[in-house]
Amino acid sequence: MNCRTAERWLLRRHDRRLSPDKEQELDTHLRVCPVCSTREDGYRALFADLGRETAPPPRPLFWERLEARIVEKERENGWGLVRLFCRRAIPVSLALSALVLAAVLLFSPAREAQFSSSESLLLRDDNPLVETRILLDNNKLEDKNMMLIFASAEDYAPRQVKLP
Amino acid sequence: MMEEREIVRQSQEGDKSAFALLVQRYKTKVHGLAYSFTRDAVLADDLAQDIFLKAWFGLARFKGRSEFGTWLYRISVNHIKDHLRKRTASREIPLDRAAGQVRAAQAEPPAGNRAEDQEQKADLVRRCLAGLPEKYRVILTLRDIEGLSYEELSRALDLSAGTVDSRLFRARKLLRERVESFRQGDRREP
Repeated sequence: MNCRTAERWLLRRHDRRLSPDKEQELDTHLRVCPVCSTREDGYRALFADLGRETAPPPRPLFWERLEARIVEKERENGWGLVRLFCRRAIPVSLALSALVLAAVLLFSPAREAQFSSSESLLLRDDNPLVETRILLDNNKLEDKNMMLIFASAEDYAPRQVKLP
Repeated sequence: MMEEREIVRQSQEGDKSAFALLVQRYKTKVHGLAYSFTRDAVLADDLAQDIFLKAWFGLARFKGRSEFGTWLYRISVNHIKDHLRKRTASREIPLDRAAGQVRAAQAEPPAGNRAEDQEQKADLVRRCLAGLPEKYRVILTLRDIEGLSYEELSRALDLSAGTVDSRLFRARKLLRERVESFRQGDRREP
């Protein structure tokens, strides 16, 4: 047995994971190898020192402090969910509104346009003044002037007020 | 006494009094584990609180494939490792500083007090342990201070049985070499 194997077996024996026959073989080696024997002492002291570790107990009211933190965290998580919902809800609602608006614009039934007679004539590429213009064009200049005079006279004529 | 599985199930359903029983059962172990790594009782208490807080909010993820204790150890180890990584600067005690403290202790006249002498030796071992690489420090603490079995180590650290065996061997060998090196007054890193 070489010293490296002996060291490995030393540690396995410490963990109670070495078979009895190997343990015997190890003991035989330790009796004749001062290096491994010293090493065994070193490990023994090391484990004793590690085992001396004594942790202090947790501080008092451990559960009460923990419970308070749990409640606080749960409340935070609740608000967090609300905040998350709000943060998501705003852009989502905006996007939905835009979609609805677009859908309304795209798919709403086209209303029949109501035009005036002049607009209708214009849309049909007919000039609404043509007929009037024909009449005006047919009349003589004197007739037109007379018509204008009569029209203005009607506008400015004093109203006749019937007195009792 | 209520079966642990039942207590865990009730806790998973949101029963805080059931979870309080689990906390009562494991708080000393978790706190002890945190203390082994930090050597600071107040910090260990804070870490233990954080660990149980994580456990409460992560209970839904516990499927019962392993023991609750093993699952809790896993959370604990990961949380403590994260904490230690965050304070990288103070994570490992510089060997020079540890050596200086050992020299100072050696320079003092023998106290003649056996308990004090043993405490000094144990302190040296703890300092050397704190100076080991994290993976060795974790496995040594869990096995040789907390007393976890190989199977528990394997589950808690998510390592194969072979890896646990070889890593533990290397960790112990390295720790022994460092301790011996300091005891012999050799300041060189082994």
